[in-house]
Amino acid sequence: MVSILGGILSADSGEILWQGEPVEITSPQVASELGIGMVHQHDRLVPALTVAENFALSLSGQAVLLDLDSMRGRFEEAQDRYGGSVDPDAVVSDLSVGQRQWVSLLRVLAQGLKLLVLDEPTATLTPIERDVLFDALRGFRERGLSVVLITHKLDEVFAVSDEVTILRHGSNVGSLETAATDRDELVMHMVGRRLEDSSLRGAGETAGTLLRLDSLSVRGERRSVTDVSMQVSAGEIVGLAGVDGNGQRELVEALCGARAIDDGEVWFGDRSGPWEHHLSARVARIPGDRHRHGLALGLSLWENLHLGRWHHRRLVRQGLIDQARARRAGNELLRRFDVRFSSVDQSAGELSGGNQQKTVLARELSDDPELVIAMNPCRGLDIAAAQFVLEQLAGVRDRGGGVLFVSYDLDEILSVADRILVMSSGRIAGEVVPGADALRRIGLLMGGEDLSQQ
Amino acid sequence: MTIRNVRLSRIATSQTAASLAVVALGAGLSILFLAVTGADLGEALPALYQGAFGDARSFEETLRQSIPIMIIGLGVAVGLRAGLFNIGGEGQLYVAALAAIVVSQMLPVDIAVLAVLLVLVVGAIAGGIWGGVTGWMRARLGMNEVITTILLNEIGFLLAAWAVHGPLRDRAGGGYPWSEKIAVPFRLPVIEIGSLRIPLGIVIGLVLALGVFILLERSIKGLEIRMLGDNPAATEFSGSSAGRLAIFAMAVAGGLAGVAGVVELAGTQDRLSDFFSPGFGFTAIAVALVGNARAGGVVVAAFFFGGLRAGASSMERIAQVPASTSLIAQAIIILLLVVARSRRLRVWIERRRALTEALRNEGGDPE
Repeated sequence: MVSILGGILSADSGEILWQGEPVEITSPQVASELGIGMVHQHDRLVPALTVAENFALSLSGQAVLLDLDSMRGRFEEAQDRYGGSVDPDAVVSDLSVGQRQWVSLLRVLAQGLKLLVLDEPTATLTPIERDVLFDALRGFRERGLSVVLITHKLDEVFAVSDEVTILRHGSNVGSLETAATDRDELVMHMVGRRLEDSSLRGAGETAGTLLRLDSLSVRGERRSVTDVSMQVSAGEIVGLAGVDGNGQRELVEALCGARAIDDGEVWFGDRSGPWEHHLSARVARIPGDRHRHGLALGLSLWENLHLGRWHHRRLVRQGLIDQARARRAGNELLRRFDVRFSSVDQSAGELSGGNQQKTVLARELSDDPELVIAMNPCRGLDIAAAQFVLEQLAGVRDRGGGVLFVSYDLDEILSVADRILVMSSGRIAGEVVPGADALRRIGLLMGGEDLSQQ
Repeated sequence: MTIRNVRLSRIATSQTAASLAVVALGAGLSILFLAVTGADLGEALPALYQGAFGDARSFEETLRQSIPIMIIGLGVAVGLRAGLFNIGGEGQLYVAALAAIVVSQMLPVDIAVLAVLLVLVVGAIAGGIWGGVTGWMRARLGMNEVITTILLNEIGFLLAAWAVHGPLRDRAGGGYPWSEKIAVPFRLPVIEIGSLRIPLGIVIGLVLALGVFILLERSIKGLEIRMLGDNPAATEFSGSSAGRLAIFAMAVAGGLAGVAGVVELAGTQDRLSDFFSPGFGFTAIAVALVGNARAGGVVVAAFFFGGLRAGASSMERIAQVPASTSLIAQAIIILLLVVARSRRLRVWIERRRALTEALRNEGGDPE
């Protein structure tokens, strides 16, 4: 729907009324001439250019020569108005996801518009950035501008919206006055059933150590991990919370063998040393970036479902793949994980993001792993599918396995984790046990407070 | 019929349709070019057909012309599927033919059946090294294989040229810069079916095509190669070494070009010269692109370009149309292909960047 409004896709049927007149938005240019501004979930910035240069790209009516100084000025002006502290001369590829999104937002805001459409804008923002954004949105409303905020977070709906429309599987299931509804009603509309408040927390009995980090340090381009020690035992889910960009990605990549370890030691069970691929027989890895590490989008679903596990699953004989068995097993996995697909031979790139994510999970969680390293495994999933993923992780723990569960979403972590480590500025800021006060303590740790002083 | 088969056939059809449309349009433009330059089309086109498929002799010529570009094209296809571009078929072919002729002259001539097999293996190894070294430079030194294969073309060709002008020169050869003929036991036999004399090289080409099909579409190695071409970061993540796969793919590409060189030497020309290849290595790139980097497609495309070559020389004889017209047709087709596949080429260029990054992360880059 966002793509139709933005002029990227065109509608098959039906019409769009803009200020009472039917309009056809045939291209992004038309959308922006009408005064519709879009901020997409994945930003459309040019990674190789600086912030100010990207800013210039979006503004029409440019002179032939690029006046970079005035662009810098206009960017700073926008930052003064809406907040943020991004260096206009920074190259976009060096920014964190949150910063990039903030720049995209400023870029659209500076265009002058009548309708602003935001697609999941807060996913990667810090709570403070989020509040600043919401304040800016309220400012828009005061000035008579309209905002469409696409989100799956209930508290955001209640924080800023006047009216809420719920889409389920692509169709409108209801529009409500925000003030006249509550969380339960919204959730019911979203999932089509009332979610029982099931806590997926474990029995609290743990056995041997499955993963141990001793003073681990990892160098990253944007954020380095410093002196991290922790362990994951059999029978527990350890949540790793924190705002995006505080070293979680670098830590997970180092554990998964996609990044070199600088200092310190990793123990998988009683084996010391970094990731080696024979470990994949008992350790599942759900990478944070499914397009980069998780899937080969041009290959078929059945091929993706066995990546790195062909030999372990005995699907290779004399160097040749047993295609019949691999397809059959793939089909089974897709059904078991409720992936919406039309054929095991279709390419992974043809699936929606949520179904791609489920495909990664289907591959990684189906060999009865004893340890799972999962980063943002629910990203892009709807509530019911996210719940399903959390149940799978809880299942691993209940069968006596261990899970390191890294997520930017506190609700997810709180609903399954047996204890929660909080990462801040590349270090472990502290540990929190779920309970009445947990949310406040996590929030403080994420915000860089030192709880051991209290 | 299941959904799966419908989908597969639809994808295959659209790819094949693109190739066919490009070839048809290219042929049309080439005919237009002929007409504009004043050729008598009524004479030239039948001559083209006559030279390619008109009788047994011309069909044999088409086969002979198809063999080297088919075998090199198979190698180019393997590279393309891994996201690597082997422009080095020319050099690999020359080096392999040179190695084969040197080995054949060092050995006693009465080792019969195994002799030709032996020089084929020698050629495959020589070409494989010539190609593999560019894979190694790509993986460990971060050097672009497009550039290194082009540079090695020169070195390979000049090595062969030096040899046939110098130590290997046939003293009874009437002053031509070519080697002595390769001894009879090292030559490829011809299969005679009635009046038709089919060069054995075509059988070798088809067997290799089957081998490449199995490698790419059925084996775990082929899956890894295709994964490397699709997503190098995920390839590393799932436990395959991007560097080793790149070396392997380029070695296979070079090895196949090497076999092509020996087949051409032992099956068609008998001796090495500095005009041994009329650009087989480059035509093979067109063959692989038109054939959509699939073994079956390469075979069909090779017959097409082989027929074009065979027909062009008869067109020159009968209708006085320069044979280089076939090169113009070939160039038009390649240009059209680049246009038709521009989206895929762009995706491909983006993936190359990912490959460079994956190789660097693997620790190959001295940086």
